[in-house]
Amino acid sequence: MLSPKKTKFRKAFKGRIHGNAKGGTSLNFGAFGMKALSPERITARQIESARRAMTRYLKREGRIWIRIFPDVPVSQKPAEVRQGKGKGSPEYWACRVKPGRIMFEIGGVSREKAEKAVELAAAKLPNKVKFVSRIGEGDS
Amino acid sequence: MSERVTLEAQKRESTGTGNSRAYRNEGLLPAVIYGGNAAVDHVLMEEKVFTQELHKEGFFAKLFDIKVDGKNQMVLTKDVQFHPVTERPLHADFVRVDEKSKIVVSIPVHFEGKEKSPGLKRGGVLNVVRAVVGLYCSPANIPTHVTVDLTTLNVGETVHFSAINLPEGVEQEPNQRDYTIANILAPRLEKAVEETADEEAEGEEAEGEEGSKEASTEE
Repeated sequence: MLSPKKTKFRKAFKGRIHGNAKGGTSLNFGAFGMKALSPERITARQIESARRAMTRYLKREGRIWIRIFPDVPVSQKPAEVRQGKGKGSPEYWACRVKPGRIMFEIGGVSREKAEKAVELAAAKLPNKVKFVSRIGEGDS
Repeated sequence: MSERVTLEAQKRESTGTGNSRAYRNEGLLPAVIYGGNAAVDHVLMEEKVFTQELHKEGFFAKLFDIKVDGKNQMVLTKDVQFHPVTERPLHADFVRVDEKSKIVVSIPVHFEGKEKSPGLKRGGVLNVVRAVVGLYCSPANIPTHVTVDLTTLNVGETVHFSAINLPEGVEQEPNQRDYTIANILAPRLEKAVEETADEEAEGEEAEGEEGSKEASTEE
């Protein structure tokens, strides 16, 4: 699973996800992609699960690019622990995704295959997404 | 050379965020025409007509005749701004083109001989590095697309710009190197696919340690 190699701080604020994505909103590598339509915190496990769903469907064909990276440590308190006594320990990594963000890109496969792969991957993610393709460019 | 399409437009008096938003709500697209020796024209066009053209291949390589107040202006699309979520066009930039001058245009690349390519037959993956290339030519010579032949390409081999047969009067955009257009990547081995399956069976144990070594790409 994806996680940062080293971080400046062990724990992060919970934060809120406001507004639309400012960058990473257009396809840069592949001819097709998956775009987020709703804000959500995507965990490293969800990214990995979506990637696997796509890779398995595409078998040995094509190429996949992951355009998001989980760099927010999410902490949790252990079960049956009273409130207080400080913040819990980091449990997993997540990525804050804003609407408009390209999450995955696919190249080297037909449109139908890419659509199906995105559909399978979308089932592994908590937010609404849509299939996108390049506008006004080649047949790659 | 592709046909020239005529787009109807009307001059707009008011500019700015609020006014542009009001125009968009009426189904109009704010646009600007500049370049040449004339003044900047702020115009409005039908969003529906523009979007239809936008989704055709080679939109950025096409010359348009924009009819503003009964006067035709030959233009090339310089830029289009999109809404990040809906991907609806928000604004378009057109640059006036003189028939005598030479211009830089972005032309889509087509790939031929995919069926015959030994690399692709062996299961290799066509990795397109540049889906469009910048060409320098006169408006009369703009090609609709350029073709790259993959017939002899094997796994691990690369096609560079110099491999493209350019039509007469067309050359590469100035100050550019002989960059890569596409290459054929080696197929993923069956082992690698199996490993992925095993990994999943193993469950969470190994997951934490994997780290971010493969960061963002997956072949």
